[in-house]
Amino acid sequence: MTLGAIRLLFLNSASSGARVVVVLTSALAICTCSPPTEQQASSSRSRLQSPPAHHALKPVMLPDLSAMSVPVQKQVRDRFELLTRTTEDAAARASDRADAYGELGKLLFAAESYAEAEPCFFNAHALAPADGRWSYYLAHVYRLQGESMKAAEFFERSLEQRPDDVAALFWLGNTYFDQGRLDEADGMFSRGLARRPNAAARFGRGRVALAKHDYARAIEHLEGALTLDRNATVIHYSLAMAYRAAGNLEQAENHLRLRGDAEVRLTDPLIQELEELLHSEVVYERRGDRALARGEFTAAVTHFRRGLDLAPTSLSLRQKLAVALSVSGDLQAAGQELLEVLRRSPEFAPAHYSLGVLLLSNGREDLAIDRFMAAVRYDPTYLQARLQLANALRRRGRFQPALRQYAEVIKMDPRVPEARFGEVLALVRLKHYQEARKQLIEAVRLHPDRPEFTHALARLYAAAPDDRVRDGQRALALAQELVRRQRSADELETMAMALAEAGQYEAAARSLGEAIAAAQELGRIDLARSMASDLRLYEQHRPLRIPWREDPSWDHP
Amino acid sequence: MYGKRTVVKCGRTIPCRKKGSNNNVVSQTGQRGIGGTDGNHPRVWLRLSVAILVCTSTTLACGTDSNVTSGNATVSRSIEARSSGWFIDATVETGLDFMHVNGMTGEFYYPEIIAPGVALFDYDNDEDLDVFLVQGQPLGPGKVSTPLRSRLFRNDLTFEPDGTRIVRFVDVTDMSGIRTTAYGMGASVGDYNNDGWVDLYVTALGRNQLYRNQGDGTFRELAEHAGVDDSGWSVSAAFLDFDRDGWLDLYVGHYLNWDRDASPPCFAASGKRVYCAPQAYFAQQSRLYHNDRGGTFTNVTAAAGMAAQFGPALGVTTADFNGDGWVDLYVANDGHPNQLWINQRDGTFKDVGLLSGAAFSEYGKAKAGMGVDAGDFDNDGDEDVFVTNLTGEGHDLYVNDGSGTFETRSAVAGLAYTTLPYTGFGTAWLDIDNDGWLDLITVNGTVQRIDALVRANDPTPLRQRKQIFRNTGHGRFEDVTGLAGPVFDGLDVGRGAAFGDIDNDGDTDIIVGNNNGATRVLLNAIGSRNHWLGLKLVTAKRSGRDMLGARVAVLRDAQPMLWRRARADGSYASANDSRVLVGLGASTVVPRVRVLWPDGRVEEWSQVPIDRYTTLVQGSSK
Repeated sequence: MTLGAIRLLFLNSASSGARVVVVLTSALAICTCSPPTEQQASSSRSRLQSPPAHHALKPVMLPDLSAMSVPVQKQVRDRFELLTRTTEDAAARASDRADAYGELGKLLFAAESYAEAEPCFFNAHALAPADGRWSYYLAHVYRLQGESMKAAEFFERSLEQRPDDVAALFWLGNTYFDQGRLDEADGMFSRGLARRPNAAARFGRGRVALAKHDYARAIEHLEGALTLDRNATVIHYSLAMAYRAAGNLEQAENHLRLRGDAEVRLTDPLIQELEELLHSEVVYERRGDRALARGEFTAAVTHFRRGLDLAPTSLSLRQKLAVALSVSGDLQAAGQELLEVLRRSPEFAPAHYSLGVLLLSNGREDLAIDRFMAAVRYDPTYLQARLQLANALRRRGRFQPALRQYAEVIKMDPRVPEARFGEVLALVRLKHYQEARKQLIEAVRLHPDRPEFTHALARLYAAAPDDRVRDGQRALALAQELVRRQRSADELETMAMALAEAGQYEAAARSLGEAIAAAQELGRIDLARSMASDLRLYEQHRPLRIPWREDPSWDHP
Repeated sequence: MYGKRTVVKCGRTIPCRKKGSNNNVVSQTGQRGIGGTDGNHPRVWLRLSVAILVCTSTTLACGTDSNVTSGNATVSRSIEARSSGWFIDATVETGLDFMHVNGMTGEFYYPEIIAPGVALFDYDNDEDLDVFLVQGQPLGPGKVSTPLRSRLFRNDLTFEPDGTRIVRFVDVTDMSGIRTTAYGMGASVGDYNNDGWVDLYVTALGRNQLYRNQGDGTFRELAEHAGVDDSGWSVSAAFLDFDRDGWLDLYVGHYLNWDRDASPPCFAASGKRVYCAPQAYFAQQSRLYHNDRGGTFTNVTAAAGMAAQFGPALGVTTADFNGDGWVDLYVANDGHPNQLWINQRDGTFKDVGLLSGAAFSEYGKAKAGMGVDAGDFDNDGDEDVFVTNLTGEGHDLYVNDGSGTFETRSAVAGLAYTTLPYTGFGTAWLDIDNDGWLDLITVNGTVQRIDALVRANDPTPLRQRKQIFRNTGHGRFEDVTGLAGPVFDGLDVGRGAAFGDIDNDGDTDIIVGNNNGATRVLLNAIGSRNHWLGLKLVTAKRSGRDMLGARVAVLRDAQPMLWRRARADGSYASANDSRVLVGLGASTVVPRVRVLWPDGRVEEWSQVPIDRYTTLVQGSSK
């Protein structure tokens, strides 16, 4: 704004208010040309001035580092210092400057500071446009910030330099899909498949076909994706939708049952490199968690130890290290770590719980009960600890306290079937058969997919000592349903009990005979012997009055 | 013409106000009234000065044009029309003065980022919408100087002789008897005792409250007596008559088990402290209450088959999704599969979310799921569903095939990539321009701090802009946020939003509840330019209760039938205008109206006048 223009505006402004505005506006225009204040200069330590105009680079700023962990702060500051030196070095080549920007960008990306990573990658790409890495990372920054159009632009640029990059093809395909550009998305997925058969691209083609209502093709691609990556349980949902739309409800329901959250594997070295960058205890903890989930216990131990090196006082890390040690077989070391956690923090409930589990595995049930009790004392909402406490109390014959704990678990989360099952077992042990029946009826209604409840209810109807509870016809109906699903020794024994209660002793004996044979075939000799003594009862036309010899176990899928 | 305007040729209309004008007044005469972000004098001048600065520093022909003369501004109608926004912020003018307090302490307590909801309902039966605004409480130690309470504002809508509508909200909380005490989350409304006066249910972190409207401007808190004084943490609730007995039942969506003293801290990869994700907690069981008719309810959650399946519920909406005449429930669960509870017509519900295709994203994973609404956006006679999600996830459109089976069409509808940058909460299907096609609005605000705002020392660094999506009528939406006006440029931490016709001019306005911020009144500036049909559907009983759940078909010659329904639920933790507003576009032909009442009866009216509200009483059709 020239002074002449300002003068003209001032003279033309009618009201005093408008003249004030002009003065303020002019002052603003003039002020922007003033030299920086001391405050402004100090802030430039965390901010690089824009390089010469012909590079068209963006200023780089650091995020608020104070909230980050100390090792990460150091990493970022060191990298920023290096960038500063490189950009100030007149002899530095464009590629060196690009690398300096890019490496800082990678660190900021790994630290989830995407807004600050963006100018770093932007500048790196501007300085070294032939290096497809920077446009790739920049595309991901935009993707994570929800800027789909920019993400597409930079995935495209990355592919200009790295046309065979399967990961970039996949991500660009996904981005096109989000924009509703189905044909273009399919093109990218197809190109990826042409480079290398991979589940991710096949999954993408399947999703495109589904969106286009080409269900046959969708099923073909999605089944193909599953073949390439059986662990990618997320594919089952799209497959279910495709089967449903194609009119195959049975297959749709099958795949819905198999649905999970496990992603399709995608080999993406550039992104994987970022996962190794940060040295923070949080990152090591996350890596350890992922390794544990994948069953890579030794790796999990390594990650947790590295995290502890950075944060030796972290209770969470030490407790997880103990878990990793225990599942990898080193129970003694696991116990020592847990005791160390409790030495530092006696109220850390997860450590009490884990110690309880260790003690259980060593058969020291009473001591385990003490630990579970401590866990729920310090964290009353610790559902898993409370459930384990309830189970342990029940196994030790302390049925009333067990019932109280089961009731608390069910109150906290009515969806936990194991708690209802344990409650029923405790009630039966206390000979509260009517209450047990009532709870089982409710449990069958709530959890129709858990045969344990149907089985237990069938046996209660067939063989409860309390004749107010027994009902031969109901027992028979349930037993028939069980046997329809599976004809193993347990189901056949239940059928025998139901038939006997219904007065059909010959049929009961036949069914039990079949059960004995099945048990023998499986090598369950003790079971076969017990059943043989029951057989004599049926032959004497006498029913059984014991629902089960030992408490049935809960099947953890 | 109301007020002065100064036009800058760059394309912005910045309205001014005469000195001495009534600051509590907004006018709507069909032309633009006072607008701007808040009508504040200094800010108006600042914007003007910025505009001048911008113009003089560009190569555009800025400054004066033939339409602007110093001291005597005139308006170029074409510029006004191009640059007019679709909504104006009338918060200050209407006197709705409310600041939500989220009680944040710097400890990243999860409840801080969840509330508040807002409610639009006619509590005094004077045929205009009043407002209830939910308030928070301190979450850490320490006290506030003035007790924090949710507030009730009465709408004193008046009409000038020239037809100008004056909206004025008056805080009547103290005289109303409403004394909320817990940390408020949301509000839902419904006449649960069938006395013709709409009652209020307030959800909370803590004990929920039921306020029975006594019909004299006061309310009486009766949650414990009624048996609906849920404790725990609930966010959205909905009144619905699920058994068709003529009495409104109640569904209360519960969220998470959260204990301030037992919650672990959560960290980002860099080690910085962040709010935990909902997966760090256990979900609480949501509840279904059956109205026993005597002012009490019975918890029938288990009997209804809903006890063993629940997620952390945030958004709730009720509608007949499978077209069998019985109301169903859709629940948006945070980070867990959404649920579609289909009414089995025997007192029970069945969750068919998975097989129906309405539980997950198109990719097959659960998204956050906060705000939700059901509406017939494609005018094919069934209820489609829209759900808002987190930044990076994209919001979801589930298109109903009429049988309660859905297909996710977010991407092809143009709603996926446009919503990726935003975390959406309150939302609704509404016909903004009354062209007969349902559009969408979302109010947004993140749940994790935005670094740029933290650097700028923003006390609530979660702000985002709102969005508007116009229905093109071809199964697609276009993001027209840029046309919505300066109101939609502003950044807020949007949470609840209640949609309804506040000034009774035939278009849908909005009350937006902002987390730790000022509530906003956004008046629709364009919908009343088209023709419309307004309906209030009531029972034949003496009370004349709103018939929530009634469906309306508007039959037009040579045009698709339009389906709408009377509902107060949907959006996020909020309650909407229960009247039915149907846009008719340019047509002046009086349509026929068919009503499917909640009890299954069907009636038809042939001479319902347009461009006004008409009350249809069940059983009164000829």
